[in-house]
Amino acid sequence: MNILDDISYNLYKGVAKNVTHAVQIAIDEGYPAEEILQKGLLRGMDIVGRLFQEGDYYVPEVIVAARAMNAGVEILKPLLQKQGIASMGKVVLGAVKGDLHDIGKNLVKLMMESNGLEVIDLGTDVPAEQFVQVAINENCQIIAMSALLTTSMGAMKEVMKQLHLAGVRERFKVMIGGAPVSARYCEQIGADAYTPDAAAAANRALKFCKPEYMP
Amino acid sequence: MQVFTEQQKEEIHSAALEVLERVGVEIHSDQALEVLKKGGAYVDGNRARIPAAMVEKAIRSCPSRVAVGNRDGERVMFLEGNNYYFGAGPTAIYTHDPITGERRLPTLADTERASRVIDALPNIDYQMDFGTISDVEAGLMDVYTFKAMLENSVKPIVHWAYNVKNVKAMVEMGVKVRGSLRALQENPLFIIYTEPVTPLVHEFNALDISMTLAELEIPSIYTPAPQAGVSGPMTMAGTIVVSICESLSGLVCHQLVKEGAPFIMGGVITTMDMSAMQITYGSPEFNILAAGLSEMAHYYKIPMFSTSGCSDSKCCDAQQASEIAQNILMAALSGGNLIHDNGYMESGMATSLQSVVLCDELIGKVKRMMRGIPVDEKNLAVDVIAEVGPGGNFLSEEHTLENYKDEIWFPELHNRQRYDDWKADGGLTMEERARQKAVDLINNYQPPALPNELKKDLNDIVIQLEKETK
Repeated sequence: MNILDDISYNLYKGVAKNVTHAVQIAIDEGYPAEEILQKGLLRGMDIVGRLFQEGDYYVPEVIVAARAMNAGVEILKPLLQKQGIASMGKVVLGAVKGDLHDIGKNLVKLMMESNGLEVIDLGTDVPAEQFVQVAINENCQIIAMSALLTTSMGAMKEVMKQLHLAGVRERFKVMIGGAPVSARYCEQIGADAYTPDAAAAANRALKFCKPEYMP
Repeated sequence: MQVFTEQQKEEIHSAALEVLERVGVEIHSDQALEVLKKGGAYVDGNRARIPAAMVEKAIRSCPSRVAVGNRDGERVMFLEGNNYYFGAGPTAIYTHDPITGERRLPTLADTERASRVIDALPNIDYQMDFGTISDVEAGLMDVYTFKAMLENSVKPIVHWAYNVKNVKAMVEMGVKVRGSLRALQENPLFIIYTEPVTPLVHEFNALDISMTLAELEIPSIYTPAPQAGVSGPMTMAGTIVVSICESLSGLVCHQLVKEGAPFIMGGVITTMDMSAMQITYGSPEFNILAAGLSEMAHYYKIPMFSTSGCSDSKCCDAQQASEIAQNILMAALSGGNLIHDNGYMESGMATSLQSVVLCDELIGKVKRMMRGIPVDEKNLAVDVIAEVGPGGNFLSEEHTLENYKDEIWFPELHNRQRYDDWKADGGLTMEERARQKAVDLINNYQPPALPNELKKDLNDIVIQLEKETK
């Protein structure tokens, strides 16, 4: 087994410390960062995705693998930046005003990052104006919002309103998620996508940013 | 769980001893009357009054455990303590066909396919014949269904017999499978149940079969079926007393033939619905009576033949689901050892493979509850709690990955999808999903085959018996 296979294997098994160890060895052996990313880490994530599709993997396997992925990417990052390899896309993410729940949002972040997306995490209780400002200033493609409470989900509508007021609605794709929201609610407030879980959110975001890569 | 205090168990036992001594039992078996007389019972005509010492001696000589093996010889059921194993039901008049939706008379093919479905279901531990079949020579029905079960599943068999001749044919088949009578005794493949005529009457075939099994050292179940208010007194305690009297007087005859021969007490012990005039399999009295009787069996250290997974409902609906969910849990909590009738419908009038599939699912759920919560360093997870800290999440921890499949029961028929996904997958009810699973198993599951040579041996035994019976 070469070192890239070793990375893929440990990644889909979700063993973060073996992944980082193997990535370091690959760097030391002189593999280019791009190749380590593509043929090691991302290939491992592909296996995870396939196993999940086929029903052999459940959410914990995917999440733990994503964490191992991010641990590996962390080591590669300086090299990737030096070589000028661009991210897959940029997302501003947060839990809306009035909501302090962030587990779901953090999982979305983890899954997006492990799929090569750059995520600006605004945390929880994020005012509508802040989503819009950061998206403009940071040149994001996607605004992603979460809410766990039926009482806070209304704040998503406020974000939509602010986007229209600033005249930038068409510049961004808006994604929503969280227990009380639904595809119907997404349609109702005029957002672009509702996804039911973190893996689906990452997939949808990739599709928005790199439609040419996605089936 | 606990139904009786120690003191109450003593009182129930004393009451049973008093009934056996004062009232006695009616016996329609010359052989049984003879052994009872020799053993010290007071016999007047058909009536035998049994002194306490004889009963208590039989309780002491009865083994506290019976281990049962499957067709491959693997020891799979240990009927002792609070262990519980679930099986299907026997001899119902009708069966509900999951393919056609018909309620019809069962045939040999129904026994065969029930065996195959049972073989496939992980939480159904043993097989029973699943219905009184209508398409074979009536006097040999027990033998035909026994052979069908041997051929279609590796799981142990709990069965019945018309008479001593037929039971001997079954033992002969068991000997063929195991290689010798000795091997069959050491690792029994099947158990035969017989029933007294409640209240307090032993008919000749029931006792003669039981005593034959004692002689052969093959496990025997002696299982009364009193109905409070009809064949037993209206009070729950009184009905348990009658039930115990019948099992224990059966045990006395059994142990007098051979001390230490394996014996299981039992009872489908319930009430009559006084409005429908129908025996109940889903009533709360049924549940508490079964639990109480299991407790008495534990008190005697005699393995118990209990009942669950059965319903008074006419179809798989809310009534059936709630009844089987409750009686399966109760049977497991009370340690009913060998728990039969899973899949019974219509108060024991019919069997249903759709219901058996639902029982299998609910037994899985109950087993998860019965496993409880282990407490040790790994399970207390303090290190992981510290690692994640306030506001973190546990979903991305390796600790979660390592443990979730052991900690969480994964249902097959319960649906926990979001509404839209459920709707997109057809929006099926649980009973429809169960029906589809039953149909799928009937059409597609293939059990391990019985070796051809053995098949021929079993056939020869049946052909020989057919000749002798004509």
